[in-house]
Amino acid sequence: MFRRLGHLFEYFFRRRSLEDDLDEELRSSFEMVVDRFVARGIPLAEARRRARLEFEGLEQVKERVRDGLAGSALRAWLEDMRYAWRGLRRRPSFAIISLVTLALGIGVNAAIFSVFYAVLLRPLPYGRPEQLGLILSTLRAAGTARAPVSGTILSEVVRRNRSLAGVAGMWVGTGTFTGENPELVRVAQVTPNFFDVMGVSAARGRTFIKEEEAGGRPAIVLSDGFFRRRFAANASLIGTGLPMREAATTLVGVLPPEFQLHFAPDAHVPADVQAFIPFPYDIYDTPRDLYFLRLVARLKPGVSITQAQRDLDRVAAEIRGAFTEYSAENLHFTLTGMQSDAVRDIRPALTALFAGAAFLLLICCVNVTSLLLARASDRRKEIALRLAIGASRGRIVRQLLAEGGVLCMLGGAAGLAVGWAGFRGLLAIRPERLARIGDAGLNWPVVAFSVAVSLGAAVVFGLAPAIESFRLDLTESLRAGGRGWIGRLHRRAGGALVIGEITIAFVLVTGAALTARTLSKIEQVRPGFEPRHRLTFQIAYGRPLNPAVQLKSISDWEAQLAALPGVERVGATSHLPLDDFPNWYSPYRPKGVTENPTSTRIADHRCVTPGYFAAMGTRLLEGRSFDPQDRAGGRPVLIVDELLARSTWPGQSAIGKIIEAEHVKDWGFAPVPSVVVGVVEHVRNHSLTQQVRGEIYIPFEQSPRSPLSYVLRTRVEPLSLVPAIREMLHRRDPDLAMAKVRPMTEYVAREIAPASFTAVLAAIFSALALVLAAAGIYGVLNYQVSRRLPEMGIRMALGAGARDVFRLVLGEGLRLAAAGALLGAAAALIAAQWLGTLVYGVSPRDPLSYALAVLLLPAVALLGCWRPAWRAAAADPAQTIREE
Amino acid sequence: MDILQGTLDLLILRALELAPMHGIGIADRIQQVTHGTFVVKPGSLFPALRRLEQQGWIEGKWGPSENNRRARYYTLTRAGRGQFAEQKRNWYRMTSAMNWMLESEG
Repeated sequence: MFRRLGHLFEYFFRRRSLEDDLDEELRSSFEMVVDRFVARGIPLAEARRRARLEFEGLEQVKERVRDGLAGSALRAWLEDMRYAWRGLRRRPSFAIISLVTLALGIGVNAAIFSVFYAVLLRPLPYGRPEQLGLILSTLRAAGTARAPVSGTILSEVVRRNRSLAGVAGMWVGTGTFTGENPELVRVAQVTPNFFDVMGVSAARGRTFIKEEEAGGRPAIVLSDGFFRRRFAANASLIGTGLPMREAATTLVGVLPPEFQLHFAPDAHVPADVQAFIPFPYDIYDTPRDLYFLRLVARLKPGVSITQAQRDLDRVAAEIRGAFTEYSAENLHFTLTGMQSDAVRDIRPALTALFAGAAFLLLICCVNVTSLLLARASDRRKEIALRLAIGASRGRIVRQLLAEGGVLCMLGGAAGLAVGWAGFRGLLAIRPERLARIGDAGLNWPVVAFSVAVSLGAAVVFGLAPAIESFRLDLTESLRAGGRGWIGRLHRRAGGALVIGEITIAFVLVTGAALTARTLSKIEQVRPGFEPRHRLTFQIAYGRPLNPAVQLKSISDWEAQLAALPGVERVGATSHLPLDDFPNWYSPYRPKGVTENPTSTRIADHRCVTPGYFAAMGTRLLEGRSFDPQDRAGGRPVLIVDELLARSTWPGQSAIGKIIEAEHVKDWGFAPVPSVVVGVVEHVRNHSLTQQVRGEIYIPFEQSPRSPLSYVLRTRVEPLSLVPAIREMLHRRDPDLAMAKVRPMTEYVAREIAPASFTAVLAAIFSALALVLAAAGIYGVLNYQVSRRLPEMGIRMALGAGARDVFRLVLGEGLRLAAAGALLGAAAALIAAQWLGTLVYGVSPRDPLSYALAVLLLPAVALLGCWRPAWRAAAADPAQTIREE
Repeated sequence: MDILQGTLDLLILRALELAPMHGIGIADRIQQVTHGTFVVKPGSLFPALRRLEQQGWIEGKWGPSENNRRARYYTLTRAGRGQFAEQKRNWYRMTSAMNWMLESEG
């Protein structure tokens, strides 16, 4: 074994001398054979001829010697690579164009795949995440899906299910850490088993225990980030009390750094929750129609989602049987995988982008293939010559493959660099929904993916020319320069490639046009308020609000804010539109309207101060706004939105009608009959693109609720007011904290972000596709023109004008483009059926978007054809014919 | 007659068992001894020589030839002798097995 290795070693290091040795040995042996023939009396020339016959060519013998030796495969491979490298360096423009094209294709794919992987494929950072699911309730009577559940439902599900290892409930609210810098943070209230169900253990300390349920013993668990920022990661704090405004707490543990919550936006569970506490009250003793809990379930090992869903269907039926409330609501459950639910809204966009990137790569591969094909047929003579002097066909194929391989390795490396840069770029413009890509980066799956793409491309690239060379007829090629069938094949293949490229580019352009139109439609949406020049911030007052002291204090505070220079109007609401704070939506009962027994009316409820609508810019359509007389103890009044007014009292005015709506009382929630005094426009609370449900506004003083979000309509740049406001607040009450200090435009921008992300990427993709398609057409036509120059010469010699030749080439290019555009339109129309969820305000078959593609692609084709056509027309007939 | 795949090595080792020889000498020797049954062409001879050399069974050294040309003379190494003995045994085993097969009845 070692001996053989030694030989291999020697073989590589002494290769040159071995080659020389072999050369000399063969030559001397050849001479010996000649000598022998001469000795037999054969003339020298004849002797040499016979010796040559016997040797069948010195080069072939050498080649066979090399092939027969150990390590020769490796050596030949290295040699092929070196040869390919030299070949590429000899034609730098070809190499550069191919490399840039490949790098683009691979880079874009690597970047997009990184996002795709990080968001859709990477398992959630919990123990056995595939066993985690969300239980959503569907109240069929009200037509409400994906709703939270009540405490009673949670306890019934826990009691009755047979397929779940554990079920935990959560609700995200806020809390204020007091002290030097009071800070309002998101605090999730959870059942004590929450972290056990999630499969997460504390990095320091512990998570919750059963005794801490329902305020049994105060406990708090912090996120790693918050623990570091506010408490300098001081481990000695664990086990001690933390100052909180709402209640006394004891820090029992800190979560691992990678812990984050991953819920769909409509769950109102934000990703960055800074603190967790067990529910401070008995959630099982809350009203049965108070749906507020988000349920996380862990399946028992071996139980599938489908099995568990069937089990939950049974549980739902039992619950409907046991509680009249739930049978009236027609309660059902939906169980979804946690991960798939978290990415539900973003999956179509990412998938479409991924498909777009794949299409782009396809165009890149087509371009490079076409370049290699053109080159291979230019090299027919060279290949024929090498075959003639003894290279085996296998060897030539290997070499062509090596060329593709070298190109792809370089392209792959450059592509990874491009991908890395692209990923940085994506990070910079990512919407908040894609926060998860932040800690992903270009990782091994991505590298593996890129390498796989490069290898696939190498095979494609290598094979096309290799197949040609296999069919190569030696003599014909050497004699005629091989204009025979290979030229024809290339013409046909080239045409097909061009058509393919145009098809793909067409699809990408319509896609980009659709996303751009969608973006502009979303930007034009009137959300039911005016986002510009609005400063918003949140203050939590703690529960319950003391009407005597705090309500007065709040209206004083509003007056103080309104007096600030630059502030025009001030108002406050319990729930800002487009915020991720848990929604408040509840049933309402209009008086005097015959109830449809199978349907409950549900509306978003908000408490607002009198100045809110004016501050927000929400238009009053009918009646009056709230005024300071609408206070606690006064006549209960309401303002409803147009959606609710229209659906509840079609064709009638809502003013003066009576509604039983939910009010916040010291002890919880209670329905209060109130009279409608005004109708405002609908506000898009949850999404710019959807009118989700009607809205009911209650005067804040009649139903005080904390935290409160303030809105200031300003004449000046909104954020410039912040320092003054902070100082004022500190002077009023050093324990109060402002949170979420943002201009209202930020909430809107965050909603637009996914659409603009998609639109920007789609625009980049289609621009690249257009450039590549133009380059592709140029490459193919230019090559064909150079092949056909003699033909053009003959045409011109026979009397065709330069104009005719120009038109001939242009016509050919445009015919291909037209065929591609037709196919592209068909493909885009077929693809349109999957775009339904991605477009807004336009049809997936939007004529304008198709018109854009129909205009752009011929223009691009023309651009690609122009120079080759011009070149053909400029051909000198005499010269081209002479060259033949 | 074409040389059976794998027998060429054996023939070369046998030729070198008696004395060191150069390539053409080995080919001549094989042709002579087999009365012209086997004609070894350079295209098979030299690859085989180099392969055997790489395996360490023979060793090539430059020396003067009969007509004062430089020629590469091959010698059987110790390992080569062992290998030859082994291959010879295998050969006998195989040929007798073949005979049995070809001459058996039914």
